[in-house]
Amino acid sequence: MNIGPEDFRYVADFVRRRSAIVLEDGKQYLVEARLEPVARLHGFPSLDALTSRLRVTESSPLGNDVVEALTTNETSFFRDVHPFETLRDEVLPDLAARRSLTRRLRIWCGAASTGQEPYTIAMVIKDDVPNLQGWDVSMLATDLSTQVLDKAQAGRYSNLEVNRGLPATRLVRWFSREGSGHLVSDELRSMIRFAPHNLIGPPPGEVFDLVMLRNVLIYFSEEDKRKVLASVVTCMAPDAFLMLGGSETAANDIVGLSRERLGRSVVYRRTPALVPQQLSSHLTREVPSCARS
Amino acid sequence: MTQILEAPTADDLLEVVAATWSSFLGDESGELLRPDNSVESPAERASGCVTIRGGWNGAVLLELSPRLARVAASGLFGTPEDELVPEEIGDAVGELVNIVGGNVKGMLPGPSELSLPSVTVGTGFSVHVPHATAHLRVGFSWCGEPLVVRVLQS
Amino acid sequence: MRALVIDDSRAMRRILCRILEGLGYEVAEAGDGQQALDHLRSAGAAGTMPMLALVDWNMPVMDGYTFIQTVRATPEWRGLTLMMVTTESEHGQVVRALAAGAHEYVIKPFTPDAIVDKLQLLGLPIEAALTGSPS
Repeated sequence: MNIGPEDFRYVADFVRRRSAIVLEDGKQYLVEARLEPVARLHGFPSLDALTSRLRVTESSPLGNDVVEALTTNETSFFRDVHPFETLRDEVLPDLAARRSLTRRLRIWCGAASTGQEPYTIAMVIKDDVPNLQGWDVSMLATDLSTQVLDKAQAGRYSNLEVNRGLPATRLVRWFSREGSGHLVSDELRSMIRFAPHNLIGPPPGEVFDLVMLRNVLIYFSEEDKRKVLASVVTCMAPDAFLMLGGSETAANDIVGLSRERLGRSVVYRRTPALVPQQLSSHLTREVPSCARS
Repeated sequence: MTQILEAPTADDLLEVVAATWSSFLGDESGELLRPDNSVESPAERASGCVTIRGGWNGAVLLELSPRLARVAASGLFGTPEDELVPEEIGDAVGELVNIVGGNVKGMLPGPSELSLPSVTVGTGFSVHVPHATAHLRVGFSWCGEPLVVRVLQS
Repeated sequence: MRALVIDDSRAMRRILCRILEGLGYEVAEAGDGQQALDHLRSAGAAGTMPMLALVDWNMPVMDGYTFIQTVRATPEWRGLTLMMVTTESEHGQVVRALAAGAHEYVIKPFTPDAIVDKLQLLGLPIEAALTGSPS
């Protein structure tokens, strides 16, 4: 099924309004591939017909399915490897030292997709950071798409998925075979709460010690990226960490974040020394007033 | 605790075949192997067979049109379709049924052994596995070309 | 960078050779565990030992499991990284292979990217990007 230029522009605009994700010119093939199953599901013989209907009923199951189909990102266990080494060697031990009185850690994985990233973090915590054993560690894993969240919640992965990035030792330790798939253990699953969340909406009403927002902001405009990061900062504890994807950077003018190189990764840290002068109107949390760190 | 089923379900078989196809033939091609149980094995076809003997006894057959067999061989080996020789097509179909059969074996009571694959290419033949009866059948189509996988139990 | 592919299926050897050559490896082949041991012995003598072996499980003459046990029991071959590549996917089998000394394990079917991921996990060199592979 092909999509015409007008329809493509419309779909791209619709998706951007709903999710902030930008589909650039050149991504027609992606839109065609991802929307064909949606068209079939809804009984449309062509993308032309689908788009005509979408234009008049954006807030509808069709609209939701279109957004979900075009905003799901690929993910895998231990993706890029180095960030998880940095978590193991630097970030988590640092947090373990700083939170040794409360022995409590709160983590947020935004854009968790089908769940491999939150489960990876859970494995690193359980296997690699002795100082966190017996702690109250919980993770919020969010995504725009309820379809991928359902899969993440189920925690069942195919041979192809466990082949990608997952060390065999971790496979046998944390998964059990179920039919043709591999099921994550209850012990890991119980650490994670999966919930839908749109990054351009209000931030989750919690305070986190670690935020993972990897490989999603690359699809946003600079302006939307800045808004999201400003919003994320407001739910980070005063010394919390933020990790983005390998090739991503937070713009230098994101107030409240300082950049560090730890191990082979770049991480960001909340620095509450300055008060942002202007906040986007959709932010509902107040930033704490000026405090020296 | 590993759960070994009495026999794979149709869904399990669907997943194995789809995964085998997409892993070697790339789901970035944009064309998917679509489950379609209404497809018939084509009269002219390539048919691969492996037998399983031991804790469970039976066979796995994989049948596809000559066109689809060429697509498979081209994808597996990276050779353009028009440069393939018959031996390569046989090797490719044999490998597909070997992998599907190996996965099916893993879902059945063991220990069992998988035979080497045998592949037949031609028209109007049928493959009989003595003392075996049909147990599972799943069909797929790829760009209108049929692929059928059958599990027989002795 | 040298590798050894051990599988009784000619088609699978060809697939794995192609992937590894694309990553910069010079690849030798063996059809069973015994042929693979013979290869290691002559490679050792010639100073052309591979750094990596991809090992199928079920093969005639000598299976992959026995091959791995033999390699790990041989001091001069301790530097060889062993990756099992097999349809055996029950976790009991994976545990057995790891206990016998396999360093990593890939379940068939696999994508070329899975091999790349495993090489990265193992710290093995990769000299060229795979072209045309899914991200």
